[in-house]
Amino acid sequence: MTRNLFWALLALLISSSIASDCTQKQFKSGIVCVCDLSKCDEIPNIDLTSGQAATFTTSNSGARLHRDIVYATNSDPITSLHLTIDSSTKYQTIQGFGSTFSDASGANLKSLPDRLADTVIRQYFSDSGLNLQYARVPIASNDFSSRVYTYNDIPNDYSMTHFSLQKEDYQWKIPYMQMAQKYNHNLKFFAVPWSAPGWLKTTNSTQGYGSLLGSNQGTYHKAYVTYLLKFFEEYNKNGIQFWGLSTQNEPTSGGDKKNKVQSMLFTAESQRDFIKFDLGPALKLSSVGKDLKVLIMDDNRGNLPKWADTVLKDTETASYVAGIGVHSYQDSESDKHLQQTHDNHPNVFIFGTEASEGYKAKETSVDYGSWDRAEDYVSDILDDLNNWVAGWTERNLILDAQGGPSWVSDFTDAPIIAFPALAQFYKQPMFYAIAHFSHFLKPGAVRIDHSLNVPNYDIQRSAFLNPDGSKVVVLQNKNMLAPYNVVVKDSQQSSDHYQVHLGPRSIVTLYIQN
Amino acid sequence: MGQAALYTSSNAGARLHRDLVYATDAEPFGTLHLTIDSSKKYQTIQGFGSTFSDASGANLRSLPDKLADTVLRQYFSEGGLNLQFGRVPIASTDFSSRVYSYNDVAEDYMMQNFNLTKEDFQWKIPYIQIAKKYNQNLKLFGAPWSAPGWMKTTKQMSGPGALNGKAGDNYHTAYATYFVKFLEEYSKSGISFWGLSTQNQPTQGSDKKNKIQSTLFTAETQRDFIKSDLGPALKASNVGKDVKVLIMDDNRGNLPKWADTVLKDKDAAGFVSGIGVHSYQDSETDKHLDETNKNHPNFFILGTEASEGGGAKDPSVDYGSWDRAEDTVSDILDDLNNWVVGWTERNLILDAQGGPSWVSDFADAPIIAFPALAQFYKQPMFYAIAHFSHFIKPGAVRIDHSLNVIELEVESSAFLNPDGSKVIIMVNKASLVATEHTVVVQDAADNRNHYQFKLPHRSITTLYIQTSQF
Repeated sequence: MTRNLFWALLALLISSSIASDCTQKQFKSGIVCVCDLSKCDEIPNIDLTSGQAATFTTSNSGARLHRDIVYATNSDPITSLHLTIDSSTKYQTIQGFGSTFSDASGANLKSLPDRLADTVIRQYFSDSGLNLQYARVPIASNDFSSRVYTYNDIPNDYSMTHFSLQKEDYQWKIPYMQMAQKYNHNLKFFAVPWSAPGWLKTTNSTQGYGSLLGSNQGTYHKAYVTYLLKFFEEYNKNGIQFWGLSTQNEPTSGGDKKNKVQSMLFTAESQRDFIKFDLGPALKLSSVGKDLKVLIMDDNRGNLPKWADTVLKDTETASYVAGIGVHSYQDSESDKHLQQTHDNHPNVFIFGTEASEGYKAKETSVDYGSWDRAEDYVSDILDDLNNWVAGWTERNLILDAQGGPSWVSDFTDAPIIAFPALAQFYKQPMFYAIAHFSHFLKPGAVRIDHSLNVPNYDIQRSAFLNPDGSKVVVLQNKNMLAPYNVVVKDSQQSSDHYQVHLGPRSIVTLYIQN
Repeated sequence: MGQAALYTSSNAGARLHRDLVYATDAEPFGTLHLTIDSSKKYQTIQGFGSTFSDASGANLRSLPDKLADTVLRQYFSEGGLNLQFGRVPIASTDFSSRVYSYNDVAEDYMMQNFNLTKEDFQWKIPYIQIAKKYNQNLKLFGAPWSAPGWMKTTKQMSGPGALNGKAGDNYHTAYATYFVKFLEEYSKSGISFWGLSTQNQPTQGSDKKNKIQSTLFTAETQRDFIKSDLGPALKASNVGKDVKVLIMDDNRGNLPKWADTVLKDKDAAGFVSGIGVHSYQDSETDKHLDETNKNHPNFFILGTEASEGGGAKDPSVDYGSWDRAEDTVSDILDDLNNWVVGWTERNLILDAQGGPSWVSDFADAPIIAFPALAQFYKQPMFYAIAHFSHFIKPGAVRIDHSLNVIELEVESSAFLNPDGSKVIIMVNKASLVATEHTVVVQDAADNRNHYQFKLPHRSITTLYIQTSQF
């Protein structure tokens, strides 16, 4: 009886996956989904009754969040792989996923017809789409701007009387941030500077390396804090409030003389002191700043736990800090970096603040249809979430076919690529990789315990409990040829077994309704 | 003595950098001596061109109007590339965003349902009109990639297949009507055509693996189609009677055989003016071109398509590629040195992906559009074309030229403009700095004047010698 049901389910899975989940376009590396003014694929509704489950499958062969119902069975179906989840053992709260309102993203949105730009924003920020909860907002220019600028290039204007937002803010950032808020009223913005105005730096240059001039509580440091506060005041005038502030993007790259990108050096010590003596107190005194969550580091995991230990050991500094930002570019490093950080500082959240693919010198910046890049994303996110990280943020919403614009040619891939000439955009496999998490993990979800009965290096996984009691298991099969069948069981409800089929090179989210 | 100027473009960054060159009586030092002979004339150069593909139009339209105008001015005004020719696809190609013809109503042999499409009205006609504003003498030539699907043996416009039936039957007559209707409809928008190519790459129409729009003709069936259907239909129509018909429009490997087959037939030959040639087999010997000219000296050979970056393993758009500029110069020199009268680029402007192309047949182009920043890039290829098209005036003739030593890394050609000025174009393909040449140019018909200039490694130079009073 059970065996027949299994084969019937398998046949159903195979036959139903033949229909296309989106408007496909095939490239050497894989398939993209094409969206235009008349259509764009949407994620199927979850639509389940209590106890019912569904799998959503994305694969190299072309499935895109393809929904299939999965029925719980009492008996233990035949398969060698068992994933036991334990919803009574809880780890960290998942705060949510995000992307970045870079100048490049705004420029690309603006190059599309308004309706299509709105579709892009809806695909990311509505709860029927990626349901992003967080948005990173650069303070002045970065590598993904078309020029180098700050909000005050008048030297020695310490009181920041000449502070002004730029056309980039008014044309390329604010309108789209407002559109995103329309789709998610709870959207949390966090701002981050790549560099202070050049005249505040040891190098006298906004682009490239260098650190803040002077010392704690001195003129330069105070001026910079005024600059940061003015950013929030000016955005506030445009009706936009912020949830957080990251002290500095990749502070360690500010020491690299070969670095051409806007950057500023902080060591863990100088960041600690900057927060303790200048930034922290000033934020607390300002109406736009007092509730801002301050993030430290915003750099690669190799710096942990040392960076966090140094900054947070000082209790006064720690009182100003809410979280630690981490980038994904050293994710090949051991998870222990994250594990130890959590152990040392359990009350400070770790949040993924930047991730991207295609940035390396020898790589193609935009690799249409790349399954490898989607796979890397799933790996990275799983690795983070399995090791205490509370959220994950993509580096750009939407780039052009070159992987820009970028004034310094720092081109990269993105989940969405714009083709203004045809009023079209492509959704890369990476877009769906993020969806497998962000669409199903509701804000406030917790990661729960999970274990596979035998070691298997092809299958990566994690499991979560949503606030409404539904459970989410995200699995990835990295094997290029072999499929797997996995039986998922909650030790808290051990009668229910859910059989999940994982094709080769596929990602599956199992959603179990409460 | 006639004053001269040298225009240099180089991998190191020079872009048509102008330096004056003074003639000297005495023979200066040089590592290379180029002797030109303006009394020995070869073929007349008709001019250079590009293509008003749907992709080009889509990209122009994605830019602000003022910027799209700049692109066209850069190409078509005298101050820019001074292009004389515009290739205009008849309905869709690989560089369209969809497959369409002008009449998809099956069996409509009278072409009553013939209609231009939104691509013509939004992406082609407006930009052709802007180009004509910059060059009132712009010569347009149409070329079909495929007949409507219902006329083909495969019933599909995309992919292979020949016209149903044979010359003289209802399909062939209908197709000839289709061409005439194309000319009539464009005429209603104030656009008249100088020429018409019978079929783009007719040999491709037999390739079963080919997904792109194509229609198969052999030299024989092309000959018959022109003789029985197209030729007479054009001659009988107002819009078509003066249109110059081009045959082949395919790679040089097909020559001279293709031309011999079609033009041996006097009736067919009576309708034909020229032979179109593509650049994708330019590694083949020049003899293909040479023999063709020898066999048919009264028919011009025109380069009708060339592009870079189309290979499966190449990046489609290779920003700043000097190699591609060098290839372009090599190709043009090889053509012009072997009787070809002009050369046409495959697309005016593409996007960063090398498209749009419904079939992902991406390629590079001399200009790449970046609508998000309201910008465009001019590739080294743009300047490669400029070294010829800006300086060789319509009606120029190629003249004799020879180097005193065999130098494989240096290629050259020489021309005499109608106003008496002379143009010498050289490319140095050597990559080591030490391989810079000092070139001395002297006209055997006027051997007092010597012009000396530097030809650095990885550079292209055009020496322009103004007409002398004496």
